[in-house]
Amino acid sequence: MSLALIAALPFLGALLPGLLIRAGRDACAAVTGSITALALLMLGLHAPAVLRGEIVQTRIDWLPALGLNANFFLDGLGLLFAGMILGIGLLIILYARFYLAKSDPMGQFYSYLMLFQGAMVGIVLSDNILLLLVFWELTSLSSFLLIGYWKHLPEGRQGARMALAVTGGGGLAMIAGMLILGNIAGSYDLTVILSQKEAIQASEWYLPALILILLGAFTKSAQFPFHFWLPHAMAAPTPVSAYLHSATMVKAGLFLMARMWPVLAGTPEWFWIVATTGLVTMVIAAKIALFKDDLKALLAFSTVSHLGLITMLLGFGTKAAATVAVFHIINHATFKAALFMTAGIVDHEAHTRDLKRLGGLRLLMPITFTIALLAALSMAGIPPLNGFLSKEMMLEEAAHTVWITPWAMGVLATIGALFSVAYSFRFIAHGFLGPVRDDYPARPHDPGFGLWAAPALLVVLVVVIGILPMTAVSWLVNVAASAVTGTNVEKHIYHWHGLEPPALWMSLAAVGGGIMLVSLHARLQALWDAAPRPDAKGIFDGIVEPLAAAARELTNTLHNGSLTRAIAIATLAIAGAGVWAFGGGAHLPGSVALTVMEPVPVIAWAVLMIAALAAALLHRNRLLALILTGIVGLIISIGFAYFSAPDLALTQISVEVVTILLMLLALHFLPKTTPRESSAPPAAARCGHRRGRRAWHRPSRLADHDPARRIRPDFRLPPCAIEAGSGRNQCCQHHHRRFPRL
Amino acid sequence: MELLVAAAIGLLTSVGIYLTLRLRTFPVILGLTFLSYAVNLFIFIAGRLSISLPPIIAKGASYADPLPQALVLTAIVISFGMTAVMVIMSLGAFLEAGHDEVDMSDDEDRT
Repeated sequence: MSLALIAALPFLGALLPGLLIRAGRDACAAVTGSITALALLMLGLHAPAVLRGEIVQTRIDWLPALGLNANFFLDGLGLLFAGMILGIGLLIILYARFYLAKSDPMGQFYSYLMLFQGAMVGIVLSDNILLLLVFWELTSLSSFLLIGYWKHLPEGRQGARMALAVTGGGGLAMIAGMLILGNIAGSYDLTVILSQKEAIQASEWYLPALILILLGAFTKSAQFPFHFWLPHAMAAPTPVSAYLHSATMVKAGLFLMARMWPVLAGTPEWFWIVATTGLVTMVIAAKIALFKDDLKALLAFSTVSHLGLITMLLGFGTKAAATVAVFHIINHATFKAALFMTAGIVDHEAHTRDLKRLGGLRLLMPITFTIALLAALSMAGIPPLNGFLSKEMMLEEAAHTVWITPWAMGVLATIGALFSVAYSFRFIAHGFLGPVRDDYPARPHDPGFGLWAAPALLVVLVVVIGILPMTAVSWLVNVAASAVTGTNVEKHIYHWHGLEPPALWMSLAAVGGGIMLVSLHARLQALWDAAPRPDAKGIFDGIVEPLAAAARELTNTLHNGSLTRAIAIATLAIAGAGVWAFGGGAHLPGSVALTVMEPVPVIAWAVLMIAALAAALLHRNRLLALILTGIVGLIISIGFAYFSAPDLALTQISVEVVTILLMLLALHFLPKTTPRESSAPPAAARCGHRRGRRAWHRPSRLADHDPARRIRPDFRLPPCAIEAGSGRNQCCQHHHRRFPRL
Repeated sequence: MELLVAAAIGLLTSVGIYLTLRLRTFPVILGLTFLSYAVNLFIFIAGRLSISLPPIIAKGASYADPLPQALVLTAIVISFGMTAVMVIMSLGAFLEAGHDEVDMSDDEDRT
């Protein structure tokens, strides 16, 4: 039960902040934080068992007939991710308490955050792929709320919509892929699917399932060419960016690839699709990041680049590479969350995040500078920080992987690392180094403890993991990598590999080249600005806007405000569905003998048919139609009695009497006849506005409302106006205006 | 008998749809009444036609299927309630707008 409780706790917790905000911002943050801490504690209680290699399971039957069960399981990978989601979530809650302004609705923020957290924890703990999909879609929805949290910012709203469209679209593809996978495996339980590698990879449906699932993972993890939504999602408040883009949302795609690794990886298709996408994403995004002036945009593209790196490692399909991927997931979460938070602090204190307007902050904000420096050096891969360890291992793996030619992968990975060094150094050099300026929008200074506590803690982790990897994380990496690869992994993490391996030289080349790029940045920036490049947002809008216009057009055609038209379309659709179902089914002769026709019932039936037909034909005479309806109802009551249902007969007849009486009463007030009206209006009215048709039927009403008559009571509408039959018609307005002057 | 009942349901449905698609409120209400007759009958005969069977359970003897009867009983009462609401709404609309057309013009929509 307790795994389900861990997943449910954040959802329950989502209710509280909205209620508790009246008790003050501190109380609200404290309650939200303590719920997350409670979930983290419960997770921690399971940790020893998982570290021993056991798998903790909770099974609840939900809809067994559909294969949808609320089954949860916790293995090494789940432990790593759930720990990251809850742990960094706790830090984000602390950070957000001090980051959000007084005018921001904080209760709402924490509610959305908890919803998102619950959805993420649900993804990583689900043992049922249908359940996983439910949580997957929930993360798309809740991240939409979080990204668009500042509703007054148009970029926020657009960014949120774009994120939802891209990740939601990928989610749809993934649903299809998962269903195929479940069909091949014969079960929707992950633990069952994971044990059927041979069956799945031999299936002819393997490739479609792989592509569809990867579409979901790539859109979520912002892999090229779906990377464009992530930088636009930066319009969110910084705590959201730090949470979504370091440890959670974008890592969900990686989690999925890691989770499916035992069954999907190891084939040439997997290698070519995943490794290539990862490599391309890593290099392109790193290059773009170097030329971004906005601190958060720089970090956004660097996130995309690092996600590409991890994707590429997973794509290699080897045990060693998957282990490195797991290790880099941890490292990236620590330094990237810290960097996002420092970017938020700079924005909070200096009121700008534009690198062109910053510089010299090291003297004004020494604490923030120290945090940013350590985290950025780790991102650049400088020893002895944790980023160095995983980057070195990544380069080692890349150097030994054959992609098109034996050296291409190694060279491109080095180029990616080179840009990574360059943008990390630029973050520090242009933001914190250089002379102190006097034209900051606000005088920056170090924030209070509350704001820098969270990034400081993360940076402590960065340093500790960097210096003592074996003590600090190797146990977690091993157990998570064992869960990913399905075999026992005992990875030893070294700082020094000797002069022999190529990784050392690749690292040195990357650092050297990176420093050179930063020093040449001004000239490169001019080149970059001059070079043409596709505008992803423009392309996205170009696709979405015609679609939205087409949807609007369709809605207007189907529903133009006329109820009759809407009912007619609905009736036709229902009848069509009925005909289709009738045509598709098999009609076997009945197994029950038919009842005998007797003369008296046949006469009653004939009366019913005639009365119903007559009601349709003579409905313009309302009283007559009502009486005919009464006759039909009466015969139906008799029919009920005849077919052994006297209770129904009794009810029907009493209801019938009351209905007829009620309608007679109504008819006393309503017109007694229905006028003939053609559904095709006369030509003059048809070409005009819809109101024109109305005016054709009732010219007197138009005349009543005519402004000219208020001035001249004896005024009569000119015949042309009645003929054209439209109050808004140019011809009529012309007459109205002209007439008083005559 | 089954053929007759099926034909009756078909005719009642078509009359109901025809009247529902009229442009004035009163025929629409009549149309809905016809539709509910048709639907009630349809649900009712889904439990087979049984002539002269006891509607209550008797020992050893066969009896009419009570389930569709229970469903239809509810449906009759609900359709009556719906008709009553519709009648009052159409009356209100007529007294308010001065005509009993189903679709309002754009002017009336706005006010």
